[in-house]
Amino acid sequence: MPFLLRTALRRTLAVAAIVAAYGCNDFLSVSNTGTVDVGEIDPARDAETLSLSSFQDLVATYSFQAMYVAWFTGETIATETFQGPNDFARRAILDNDGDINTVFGGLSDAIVSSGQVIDVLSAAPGADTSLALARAELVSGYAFELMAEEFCVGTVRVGPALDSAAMLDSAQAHFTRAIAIGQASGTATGTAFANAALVGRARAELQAGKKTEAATDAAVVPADFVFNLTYADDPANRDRVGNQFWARTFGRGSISVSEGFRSLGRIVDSTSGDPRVLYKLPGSGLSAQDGVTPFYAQAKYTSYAAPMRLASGLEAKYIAAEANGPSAELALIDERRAANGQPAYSGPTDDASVLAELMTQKSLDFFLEGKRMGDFRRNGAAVPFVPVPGTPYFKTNGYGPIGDQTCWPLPIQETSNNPNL
Amino acid sequence: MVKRRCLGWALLATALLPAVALSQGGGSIVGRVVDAGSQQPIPSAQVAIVGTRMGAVTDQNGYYRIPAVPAGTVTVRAARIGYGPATKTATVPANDSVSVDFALQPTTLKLEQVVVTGTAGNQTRRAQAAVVAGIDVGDLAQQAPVQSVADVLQSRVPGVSLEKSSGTSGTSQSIRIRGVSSISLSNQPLIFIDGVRATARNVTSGRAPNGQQAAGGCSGCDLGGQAQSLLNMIDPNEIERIEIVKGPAAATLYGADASAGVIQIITKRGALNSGGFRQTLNLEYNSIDANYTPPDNYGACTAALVAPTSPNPLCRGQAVGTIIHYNPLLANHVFRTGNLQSASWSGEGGGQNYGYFASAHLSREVGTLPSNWVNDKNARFNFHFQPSEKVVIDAGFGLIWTSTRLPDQGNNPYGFGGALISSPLTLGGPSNGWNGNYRDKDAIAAIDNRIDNTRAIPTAEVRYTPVSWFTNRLTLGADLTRSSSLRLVPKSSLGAYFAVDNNGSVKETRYTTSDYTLNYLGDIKTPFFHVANVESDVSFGVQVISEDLETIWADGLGLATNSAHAVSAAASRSGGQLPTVQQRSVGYLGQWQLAWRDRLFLQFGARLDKNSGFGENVHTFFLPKVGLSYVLSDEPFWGEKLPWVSTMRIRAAYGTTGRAPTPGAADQTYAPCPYVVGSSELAGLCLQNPGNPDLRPEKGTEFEGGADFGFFNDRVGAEVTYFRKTTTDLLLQRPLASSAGYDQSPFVNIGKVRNDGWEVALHAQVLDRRDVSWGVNVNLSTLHNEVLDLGDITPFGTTQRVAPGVPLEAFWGYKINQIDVANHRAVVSDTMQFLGNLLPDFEGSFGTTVGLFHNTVRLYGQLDWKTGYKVLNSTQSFRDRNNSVSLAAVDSTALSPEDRLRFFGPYVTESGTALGVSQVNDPYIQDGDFLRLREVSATVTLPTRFFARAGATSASLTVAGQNLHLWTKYPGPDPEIHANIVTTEFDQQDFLTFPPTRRWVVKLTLGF
Repeated sequence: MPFLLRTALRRTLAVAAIVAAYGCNDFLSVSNTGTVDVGEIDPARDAETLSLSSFQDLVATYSFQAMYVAWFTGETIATETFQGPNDFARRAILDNDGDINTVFGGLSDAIVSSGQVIDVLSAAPGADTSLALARAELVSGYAFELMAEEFCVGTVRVGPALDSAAMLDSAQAHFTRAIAIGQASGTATGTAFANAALVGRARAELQAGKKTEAATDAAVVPADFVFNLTYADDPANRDRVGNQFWARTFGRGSISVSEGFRSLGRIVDSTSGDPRVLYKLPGSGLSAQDGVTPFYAQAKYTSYAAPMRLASGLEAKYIAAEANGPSAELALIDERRAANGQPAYSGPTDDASVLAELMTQKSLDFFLEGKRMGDFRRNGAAVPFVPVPGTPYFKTNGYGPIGDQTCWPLPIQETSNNPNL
Repeated sequence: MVKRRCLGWALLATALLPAVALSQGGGSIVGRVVDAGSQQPIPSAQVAIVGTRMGAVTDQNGYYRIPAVPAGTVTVRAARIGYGPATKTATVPANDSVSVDFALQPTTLKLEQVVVTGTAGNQTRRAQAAVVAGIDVGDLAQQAPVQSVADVLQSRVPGVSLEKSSGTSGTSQSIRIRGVSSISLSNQPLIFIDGVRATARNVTSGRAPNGQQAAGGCSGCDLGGQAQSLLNMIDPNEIERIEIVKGPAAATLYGADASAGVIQIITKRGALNSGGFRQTLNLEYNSIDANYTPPDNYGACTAALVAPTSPNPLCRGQAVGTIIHYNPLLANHVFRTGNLQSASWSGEGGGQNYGYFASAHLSREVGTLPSNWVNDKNARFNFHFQPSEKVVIDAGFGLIWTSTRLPDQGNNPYGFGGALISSPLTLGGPSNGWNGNYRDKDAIAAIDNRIDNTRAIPTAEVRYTPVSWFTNRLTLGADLTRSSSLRLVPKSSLGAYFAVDNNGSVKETRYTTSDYTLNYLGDIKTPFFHVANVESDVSFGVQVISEDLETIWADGLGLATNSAHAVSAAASRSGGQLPTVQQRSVGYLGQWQLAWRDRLFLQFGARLDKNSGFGENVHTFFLPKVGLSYVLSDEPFWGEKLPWVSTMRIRAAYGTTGRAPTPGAADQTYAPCPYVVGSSELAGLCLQNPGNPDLRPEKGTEFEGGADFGFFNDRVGAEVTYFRKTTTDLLLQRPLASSAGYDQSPFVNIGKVRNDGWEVALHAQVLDRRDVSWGVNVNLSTLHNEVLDLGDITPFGTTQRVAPGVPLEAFWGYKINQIDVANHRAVVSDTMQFLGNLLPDFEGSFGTTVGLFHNTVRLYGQLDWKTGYKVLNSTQSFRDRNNSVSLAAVDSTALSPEDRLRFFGPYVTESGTALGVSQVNDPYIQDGDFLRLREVSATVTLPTRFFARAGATSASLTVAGQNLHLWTKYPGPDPEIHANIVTTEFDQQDFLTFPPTRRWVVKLTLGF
């Protein structure tokens, strides 16, 4: 090779190597605009955002929870072809149903995200009056509460199995802190958090059999107190911010009011029947996803932004009445019947019958609000219209009779991948 | 300074010298190239003067002319794909011409063919250690009915497997080379066009690439699993050939991402001295048949439906329980005969030191479903220029415009496919036999799914050979694609659509893809020190690839009128930009090849790759390879030992690949997600991925060994290859326990997958006579795919499972072991088991070409088959079980007692546990084995006097058919349906998707 050419070649290669080395890493540095690296988050500085985001986790999962509770406990029937909702409606949920992972995953998200906020803010100055902390404790409390009511066994953060008693204990502990911080804050928001936590703690105590404590907590809640979860109509984020009852009624046609509740309830724009359960007749413009089943659309939630009631003074009254026994139950029964145009109760007054009527009134008052699972696990057959084991399911081909589950299994995604179970 | 100036003038003088020499009076070489057997002229044969860049291409009649050849003795070489080369010595007189004719022997082996894909250094096929398959598209298009690149690739090369998604015009396909070896990364091969990386992604309508929910809140609707393929936008008429690298050779030149193989499309170039300007005009018409008779839907009349006031015309007045049936697709004449009309023009020519190719193509295809059509326009201009002996420049520019409308179909119960699960009991009511109130043929057809693409592919390659032993090749190019998709659901006062869609909804998405490529490859060829007959070839280079994908979307809900359907005109609007995806890679490569007597070749190579997939921790891959090729038949002793084996070459190659995960996969992340406060929606954060700081790339190693044989003067050729590909450190999203609270599972490196198999390609020129010729091609391939190890990850997946000891994503479930009619039960296995392969384990094709009457009539046919795999027949499952509209579901006597138990249970395990009907999928995981008559054609050379007035110098007429017959036991319409090809590569599901169509083709080709 001629000397000049060799020199030229060597110099060219050297220059190329220098340029390549200098420019290479810059060239390979790309932007990934769709995610937020954890290093960009300061838990202390961003605590309010994380707290509000965690609360949205509860809001998002709550309407899913209530929807699946509605299928399982007979408030609605599943008018769609996919297996998961039908398994819920048959009380025969399989652990590999994707829907059970949706439900459990949503609660887990709320527990973990709120736990992150609690871990950071509990040790920070001003913890005693921090609304962000109170909010996170409220989220944790309700997430544990729902998990205890719905699942036979629970678990959190890839930990060991927790029975209902353990989950209810956790719920109560979080509610207790939410109450203390909310009340200490001296703000309207804090007071609302505190009252919502009081209702939640009373609910957990009742579920745990602590009737005296439940009655005490429930008595403190103002009668006119209402704490709603708010939703939004955002087509780009339906699952995150939209009311799922409306989504599955209007968007998919999966939820039809069950015959039992229709027998007590009221057709929209009519005057007979209980106004607490409103529904539309088939032919209203909405139809079942399966294309066959007559579709009785619920009329309680009529938009993606329809709020859902998480806690209320009315719920506290029901908790107190059940905790205090038959005479208190009868008083509340008549109060609720009168408020909704029904004559006074004239049925049997034995304890079981009165409890059954109380559960009926509660079912009407809290129709599609996700309270029935706890009631069913606590009071069994007293809760009306729950599908009866062994009876035929309304869809014949492909589905067996109604099952006998009283609670929900952990999803296979948890049991297969949690080494502590 | 003086020396540099001298160098500069010397270089300039060197560059000019050939031009000066050319401009002085020389002679010329003329002649004709014919087939040695049939004596038919061979067009497009390359005739070159050995050791120079001077040459020409034969015209339609086989004639060529090389002008301005310096006087003296030269060696002239003629070559053409499909023929063995020939050389002759000639003495060129000054200012006169010499005639040199050639008669080339057909050969089924192509060892002298130059391949450019996956090669550095010596680019002849004989020197390649790994198989580089090639398809001569120009020849193929003259006899086979190919309308797309997918048609070109279908069943032509062993080990390359294609499957279309459906029969809808304009939809895509999946391509796999030698199985699948990654769970999380793409198993689709890389696509290059003239050395430039091209995007081959699929585009769908109304749904962003990350699966953004449709505006109506209806998941699984819209186009189901259908998408449009950008690969099929390329016009086959502008393609010279396609080269496919399947094995370890790919990674060295194309980088770590090439582990799934490389497909290089080489477009036509004009040739030097091509003897004037030649034009070709193709006019084509296809008649397209749906090739499908949908089944009827059944129902049993209820008491309400038989009443005198019942709206159901089939039930009214009948007895309760009367079984009725109805077929909405046939009753409403949904299927129509589609058609394709296309016109393609190409022109090429060349002079002493330049050549050019230009083409234009227009086509309009109307599909067999309403609201389905495809309009294509293509244009290309390629220019080849040799300003001197040292410099060759190739530049090209391709432009593509497509506009496609796709119907709601596929995995969409509210599209046309939904009519397969609708009930006749709804006749007379709002659903009226369809699936959804008022969602009938007109309502479905009124939904406008439109995809428009504009694509520009500029390429340039410069080869500079300053001295004979040092070659430089620089390739630059880009693939710039802009796709816009629209989904317009018109207003419906009847409420035919979902939710707010009834007020009119529009979704628009814009995708912009920008892929840039820069390659440099240098090659130095020298004697290997002083070792006799050994040549050393050192190649080195760098490759830089940049890929960007940007997506912007906007949705509008509530339209005043359907014509005013811009998003800005909608009552409520939302929109955003999806994450920009950027991928960069830089690779440095080197290869050393030793060649002994041009018959024994050893290759040692390596590549250093850097990839942006690891974020800030840019990872470097080191990818070595080694290979050997030995043309045994060139040895002097060969002729004596096995005289009937005219050619034998053995080859072996071993190489490695490494693939980076998708950008950001290793990072711990939050996702932006909103929260609601009062009536406002604000930006929040959700836990997304816990990340994995120890994440490593996937590593693959592949061994490939084989032999090429030629028999009877290479009239019969065979290529036999065994391959074994192992991927370790598989990137898997390790299923995370739900209680961990993250939305995504982290990537981990666990697992090992193996693909191995045999590939055989047989080619035989059985007859080659003046009046008749007959050639046969057989391609066979086997595939054994197995997950070897999953580390400590529990096998996952339900109906399709990833587990050690079985193929990737194998079908899984409770296996029916016994049908116990006496006890009215079906007995299944106690545990879920392997039920069958996702991928075929044996594929093959048989093609034959017959030439009659001096090749004026050419007949062609191709059969292909796949065996050893299963298809999930979800259409039948839904008809039987979920929607109960099959006859078997409605009439308990329709099936034999055994089949009734098989499909409907009751099911009980061997140990006596009762299972729900929905838990047993075995009856619907069905054999997909098939044999298909894929293509048949007859081409007749027409007398030119018919077209002489138009100036044509040649004419031919082709009549062809595609997808003419299917032999299969699969009970669904076609085992090659894929309902979800957009969302998963591991899809082998038939769900509400219509099968590939049948076509009849008429094509007139005129040459000018």
